[in-house]
Amino acid sequence: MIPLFRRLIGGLRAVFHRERVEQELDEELRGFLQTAADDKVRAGLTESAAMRAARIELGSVEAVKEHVRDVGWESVLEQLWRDVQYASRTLRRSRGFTAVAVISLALAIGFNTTLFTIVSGMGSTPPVDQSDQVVSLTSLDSAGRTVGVSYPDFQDWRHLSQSFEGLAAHSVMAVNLTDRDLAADRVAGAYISATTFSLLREHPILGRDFRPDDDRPGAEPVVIIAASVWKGRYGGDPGIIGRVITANGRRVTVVGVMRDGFRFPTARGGSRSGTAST
Amino acid sequence: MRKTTDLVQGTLDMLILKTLALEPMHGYGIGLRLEQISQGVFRVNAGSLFPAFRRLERDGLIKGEWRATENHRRAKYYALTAQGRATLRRETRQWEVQTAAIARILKMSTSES
Repeated sequence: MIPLFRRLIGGLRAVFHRERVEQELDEELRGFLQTAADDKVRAGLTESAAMRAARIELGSVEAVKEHVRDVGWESVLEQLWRDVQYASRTLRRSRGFTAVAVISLALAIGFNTTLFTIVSGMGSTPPVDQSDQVVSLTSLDSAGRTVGVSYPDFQDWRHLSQSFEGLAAHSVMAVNLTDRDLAADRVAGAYISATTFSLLREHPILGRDFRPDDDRPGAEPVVIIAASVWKGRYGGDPGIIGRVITANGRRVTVVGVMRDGFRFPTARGGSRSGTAST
Repeated sequence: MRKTTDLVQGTLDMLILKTLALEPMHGYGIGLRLEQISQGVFRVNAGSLFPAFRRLERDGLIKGEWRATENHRRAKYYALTAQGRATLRRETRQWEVQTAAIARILKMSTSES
């Protein structure tokens, strides 16, 4: 495969550059010599003496061409090819790592294209009435520290568990709202899975809830905002549903607004915690 | 052959760009202009000029175009691109800062020489 690739590049080089570039360089050097000789004739030398002097000044044409070739466009391709070779050699040497890197990249992209909700004043009131029926699951490492749950684990748990009405995932984060015509704001928010609110028996007062479709990788990024954000930042805009806002540098579409006083997720307030160790 | 001063490494490209900032010129004209303006201190031979043209053209700082010369010969005229103009401005600034610093250092040690 490598000789083929080399031949391909060699062919490209010849077709696109070498001949035309060489011809042009020859012509350019001839012109250079001619002009130098013209100058010397004007200064009083005979034509043949002028040409001779110009040739001596120019020196070896082949040497000049060799110097120019060293700079050539093709050296860029060669550099690129060396980079490609180096990269593939490195990847071959650590194939396991490559797989992990590629997979986690894919997962990161998948997770990134899910969705999130923006709420303010997180952690004060529990968002559910029947908080004794809510359990929080997480993973612990061997030292007993909370390490969160990977998205594939969450999907497995959701599909295999029979003890719960449903499982939802969330990941808390700060959200910078930087719409072009408004001052920037920093609010609390979370990435959540699509069924989170319906499991909590909560529904947006405006617009729609997240749909399972929104969870798919590649889905359009959508957001449900808190009433406080809707009223405080967007002036209670009646056309808020469908409006595109900028959250953490990404353009996302508002699909819903939650009721006044709704907080998510809850940090205090009596939801039982259970843990699953992996 | 006349003895001439070697150019400081890396300055030829900058000088070519500066020469072209006034008007597009062909290779011979550029070399001649450099020699005239430096009052003969720098005589740049073709073996240095042409690789520099190639380098600058490859990097998109100058652009070549075939045209007729005043003597009715065909020559490749080089012109500065927008990118070349920006590079020249940047390099000139850097050069001024560096030469000023070098001059200060050399002035400091004149008493010893």
